[in-house]
Amino acid sequence: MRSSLRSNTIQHNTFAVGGAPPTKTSVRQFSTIAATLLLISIDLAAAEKPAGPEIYEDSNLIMYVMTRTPEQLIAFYSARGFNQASVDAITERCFVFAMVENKAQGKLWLVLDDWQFINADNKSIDRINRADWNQVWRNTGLPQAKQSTFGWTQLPESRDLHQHEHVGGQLSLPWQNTPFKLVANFKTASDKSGPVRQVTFENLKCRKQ
Amino acid sequence: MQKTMSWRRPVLTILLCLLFTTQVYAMTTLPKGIIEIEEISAPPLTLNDMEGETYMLANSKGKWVFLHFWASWCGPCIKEMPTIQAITSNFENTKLQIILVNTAEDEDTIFSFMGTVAPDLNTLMDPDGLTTEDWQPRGLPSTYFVDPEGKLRYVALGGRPWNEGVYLDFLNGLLN
Repeated sequence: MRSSLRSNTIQHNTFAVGGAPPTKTSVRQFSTIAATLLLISIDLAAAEKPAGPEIYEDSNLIMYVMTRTPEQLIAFYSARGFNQASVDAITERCFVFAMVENKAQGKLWLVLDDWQFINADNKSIDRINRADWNQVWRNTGLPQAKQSTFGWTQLPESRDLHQHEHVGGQLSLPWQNTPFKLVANFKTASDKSGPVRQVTFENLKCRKQ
Repeated sequence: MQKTMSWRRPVLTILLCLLFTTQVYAMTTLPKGIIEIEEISAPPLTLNDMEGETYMLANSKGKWVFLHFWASWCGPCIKEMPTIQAITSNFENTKLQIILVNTAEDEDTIFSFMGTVAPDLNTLMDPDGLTTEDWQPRGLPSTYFVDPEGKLRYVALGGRPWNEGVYLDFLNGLLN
């Protein structure tokens, strides 16, 4: 779908899963970067072949989203020495990998609180945040070093992206049995006063395999 | 003879000016992915390396420090590490120290990775990851530049090909 200007301040773009991305230029280049940066890519070979990522691109940003399978998560975290209870806790949740690159000159703000996950009943899904995970690790007895590793595989809560800078990582949701959508809003400019860019990914699914 | 000298001097002057301009340009135009950051004191850093030696950042006052945070599971780190190994000999016995910090991995993982990817390099080990968290890098890999007064001056966004000309010029420029 083509990007469109929804209002004076919000640029709204929707990319439905299975549809064609708005532009195809640089998608291959971005995919290469993304593939390199995929945190668990080393272990993917052992896992089931993943469904392709959803990629959105316009002149301002590139965004890449895919949900993880339990096999992928087990392959990565078990290989990093996570205990079984922690791995089980991870695979009970729904993990979404996202990567964003800022193509524009001004700053682009990734702020996870500006992103919304919406279920099939049009209700908002609360993200599982870092504090929630810390509580999980207290219950599963995950050592500090592993907690730190887990933290580095997650998207930062907030990040100002310079031109050509990208950031990638995972975020997690309670398991969803029905498709959901992600509406990602990005403030722009150093003081966040620029136009808000909005990208929507429809029909995302938690994957059992 | 007099005539020869008369043109040599201005040519030499022009060349020196060009050299000076190039150096200034190299320092004022940062390579892609390197940004100047707010000049604040670097957080403390004291960690052991692979040989059990303790390194303290505070002891590097008077030198620039190239401080690189990495982990073996991070794809760009694997790609970047050999480029760091390739430049280390350029900066031996200079006022630029290259220091690596592994984030939250065990010794077996670190030794196996370094032995394969960059056997000539040593790294500090941050076994619980808490020192790295104090530094709040913008992700892994991440490279900070600490100036001779112990202040943060630049950060490299993500992995960079340090053995390429523009980055080597930047590093050499720090020493001038």
